[in-house]
Amino acid sequence: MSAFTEYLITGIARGLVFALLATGFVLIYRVTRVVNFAQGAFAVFGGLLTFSLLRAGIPQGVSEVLAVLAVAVIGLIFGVITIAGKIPLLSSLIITIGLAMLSEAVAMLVWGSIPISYSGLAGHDFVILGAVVQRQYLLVLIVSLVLFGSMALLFDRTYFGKAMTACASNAYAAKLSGINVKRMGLLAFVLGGALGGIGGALLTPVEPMTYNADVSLSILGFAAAIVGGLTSPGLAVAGGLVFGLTEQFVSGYWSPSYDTAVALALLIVVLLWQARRMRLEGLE
Amino acid sequence: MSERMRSSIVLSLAVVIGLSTLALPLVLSSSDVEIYVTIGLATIVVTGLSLLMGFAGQVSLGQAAFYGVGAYTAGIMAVHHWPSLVALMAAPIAAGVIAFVIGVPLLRLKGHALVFSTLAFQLILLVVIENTSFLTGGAIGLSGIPALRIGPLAISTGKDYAYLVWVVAVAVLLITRNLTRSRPGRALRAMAITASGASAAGIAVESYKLKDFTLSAAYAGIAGGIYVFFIGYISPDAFPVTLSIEFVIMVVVGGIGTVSGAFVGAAVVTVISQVLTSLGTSPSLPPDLPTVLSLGVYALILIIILRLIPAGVVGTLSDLWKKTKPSASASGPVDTTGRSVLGPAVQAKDG
Amino acid sequence: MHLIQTIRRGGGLQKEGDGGLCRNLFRKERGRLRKTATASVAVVSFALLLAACSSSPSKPVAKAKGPIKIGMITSLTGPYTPLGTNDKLGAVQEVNAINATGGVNGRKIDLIVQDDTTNPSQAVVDWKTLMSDGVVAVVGPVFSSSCMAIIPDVQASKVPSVDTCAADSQVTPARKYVFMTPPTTLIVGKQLLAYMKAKGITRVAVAHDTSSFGEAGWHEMKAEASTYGIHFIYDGTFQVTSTTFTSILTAVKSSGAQALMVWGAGPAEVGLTAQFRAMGLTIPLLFSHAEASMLYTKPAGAAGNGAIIASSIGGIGPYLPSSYPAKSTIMSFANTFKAKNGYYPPEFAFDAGGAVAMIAKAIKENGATPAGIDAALNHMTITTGDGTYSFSPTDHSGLTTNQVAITRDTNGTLVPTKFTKAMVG
Repeated sequence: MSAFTEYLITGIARGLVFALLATGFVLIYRVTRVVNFAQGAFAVFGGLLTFSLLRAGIPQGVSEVLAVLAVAVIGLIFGVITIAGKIPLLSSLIITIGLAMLSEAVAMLVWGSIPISYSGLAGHDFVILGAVVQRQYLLVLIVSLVLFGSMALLFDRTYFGKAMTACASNAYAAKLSGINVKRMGLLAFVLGGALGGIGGALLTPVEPMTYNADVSLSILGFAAAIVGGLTSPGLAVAGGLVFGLTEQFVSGYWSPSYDTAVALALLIVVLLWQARRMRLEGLE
Repeated sequence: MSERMRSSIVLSLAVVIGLSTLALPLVLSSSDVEIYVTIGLATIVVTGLSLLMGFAGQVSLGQAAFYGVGAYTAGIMAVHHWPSLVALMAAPIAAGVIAFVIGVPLLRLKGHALVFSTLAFQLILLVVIENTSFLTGGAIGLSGIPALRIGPLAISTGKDYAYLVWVVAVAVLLITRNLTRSRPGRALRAMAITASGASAAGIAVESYKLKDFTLSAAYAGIAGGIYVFFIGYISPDAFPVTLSIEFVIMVVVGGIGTVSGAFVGAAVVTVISQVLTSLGTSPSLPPDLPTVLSLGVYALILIIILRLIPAGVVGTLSDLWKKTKPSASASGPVDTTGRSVLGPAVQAKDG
Repeated sequence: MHLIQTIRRGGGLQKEGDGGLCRNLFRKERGRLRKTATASVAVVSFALLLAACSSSPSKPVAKAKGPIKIGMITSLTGPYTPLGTNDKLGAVQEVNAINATGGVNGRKIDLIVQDDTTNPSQAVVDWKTLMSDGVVAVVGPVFSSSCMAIIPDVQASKVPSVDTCAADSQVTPARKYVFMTPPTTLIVGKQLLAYMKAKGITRVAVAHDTSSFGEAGWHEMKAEASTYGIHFIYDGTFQVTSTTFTSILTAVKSSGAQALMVWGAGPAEVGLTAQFRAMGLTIPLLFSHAEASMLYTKPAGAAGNGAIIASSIGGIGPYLPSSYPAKSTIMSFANTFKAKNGYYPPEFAFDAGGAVAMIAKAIKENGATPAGIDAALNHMTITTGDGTYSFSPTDHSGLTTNQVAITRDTNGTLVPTKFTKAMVG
């Protein structure tokens, strides 16, 4: 029982971190139609900046918030470089890859190449159904639920959120109704940066961060986001959880060598199932 | 300038470049021959990828996987004493067959879902390679791959491989060029613009996509096959996801949907990254510098190229070419070439 | 690429006959052809011209009186950056030390460093570049796959490569021209088994990654286990990129193992350590020499406290008795390194510094030719920061279990265990 609980809780916690990265993807894609492969770099900066602020003596909590704000500014800069002016979407996508590389170089210069970590939420780990769970995972859970809730509210209930979505679904109509499409896009990058930063700041205490962790983080976030077609935050959370749980159970009951591979394969199956369902609906 | 004259200019230019690349290995130093081969192999892969991206409108972030399939197929067969030419021929076949088999389901996915699935395929493949050591040598890799023999000819030196790669690259470029000008090519092009429109016009979209996907994988496969004989050793580390990303970068830098863009993109990106890789290694320089150069400066150059000429080098040049007046002379390429890398700002303003 | 080296060494292109010509050609063409734009394959010509320019100038002139050229291939970018950068620092320090005292046989050493970008194919390109530069020996890669990839070229060019990667397979059996400086996974495995035996541990769980290092280490250890009366009762594998180890650790917990042995290199071990502690496991946690540096102890922090880590003898320099033969060599290297870089040298620095010292000694004995260096290396006995090596034509690793220390991570410092203190006297 305790092994099962152990896998379940770790899987959920990791799934939520993926979902945090995924929501950044979703937000930016929904507004700008750009797949932002620099999303992982936001998380790296979130973790590394928190580390530096903590070391400078700034208390826990404040450090994280400051780091996230700083990453939001980085998000803005990335947004300007990626979407300003007229540029094809594919070029924008490659530019985000370039920005991710640039971030690696900067992170390497400032923080070096050694993995970096700091202690997370203080206090003893707690026991659920016989399984020891790191307290940091609880924080991941609370923060992500709050964020996902507020994102759902933002998109479904506020004029502002609807305006953001309108930019992507019909940029021309959005413009006509007085929405500044570019500005909305930049705002999406700011928020996407903040979401990535939060993910990184939460993740670093349980998984040490390195300057080049962004590639795998981006892939995991992309994997979770794709389940919702890169547009649905709710499905992205589901995607993250499916991924995290599959990894843990495959790792536990089969072999850790195959955990990511099976999770990826499962996501492909989910995507094929979605495509089939859409096709069938289209025929009706 | 008449259409005929224009096309004869293009043709003679192609011949000049073809001949000069043919002569090049004779004068290159042995390490430069290595880079020549690298460019040639990348050209072969990128031609297929460009076909996929520009004509079928499908982005693959897993092209290095098919490169790997080709390499492992040839490598494993060669180690098990198959004639090396048979092993090399099997490389594109294996890559093509695998692409066909996974393409049947995967190509039902659209847009980014397909991008994701190609990326996922590569990651899964790497895990499989690492965990089938009885066949692939696992993470330790396969060594002792014998040199390639074509009949009585032993292909062993760098120059030999340079010519082999030249022949294959030219063949691949010509096949692709003819393909894109044929009916299937026009069909593919129509598909890239609007799949539903193409479908309505009676084009069997699914079937063309699958053929294209298979062909591009076969290109990557033959490049992988040559690679494995060239290096003589193979391990999963040679096929990281970043290599797939680099192939896509080459397509975009060269100019998506242009056959010659594949060559240009492969050459430009390889030369830039080789230059940057060697710049910062001097003992007196800090050890962090190579990362700054090969990631930071490389990324900056990439971003600047894409911001200034988003259509890629060949895409931009071909737009300019279309605007040229009859007075334009035929001796332009060297210049435009230089400028598009060295002075893209000028270029963009001119355009 | 000669062009690149020309730039790198600060020489302008025009200084070299052909290079200058190429450059002028460029400039002229640029002016004349500005007005035209052609659709076809434009940048290619640029690339070709660049390549042509890069190849033609300056065949290296072999001057007997000039500096001796030694090559180095290491990973300055890519996943192995932390290892490669320390490799470079170690090698450069040793070269500087030799040059400061007048060089070898009155000639200075000129170290030419190439980055393999943690990619075996690039290592092959690097090897050929070094050959065309005319180096007489090479400090070989730190990345195992790179070491394996260059072997055919090393043997074809008959230039010795003293590798800094921990791949046993490159020297078992001993191959001509291929030597290695880090301890083999075999002797490290044996020493860890001896430690377990001394501690009365018999039932052991193992976790290893699927890298060549992790696989090799585990297989060597498994093969030797029965000699030491050790039973491996659980074997879990993970990826180099793995970040959660819940399943392995849960299985270890319920297996009743008396210790957990981990074979792997990279950031994964740091995460494993944190989760090991978080799950309340209290059995000894043992690591191979891949974790024997602050690259592991620093990020692992408090969680790493108490971990048992194998290390080359250089890692415990300050704790060695002054009677220990390698002590002075280790400490003089370590003190210089620490003064310059602010931290105690990790094993990689010792490995590369040692490789330079071996090559220098070989040159001193037999002259600055590849054949001479190879002949000297094949019979060399030398003490470097990694301990005392005795190479022979059938042993190209040269170290024994006596050069492997078993340490305990004590607040971030590697402190020798009683087991090792007894060994070094």
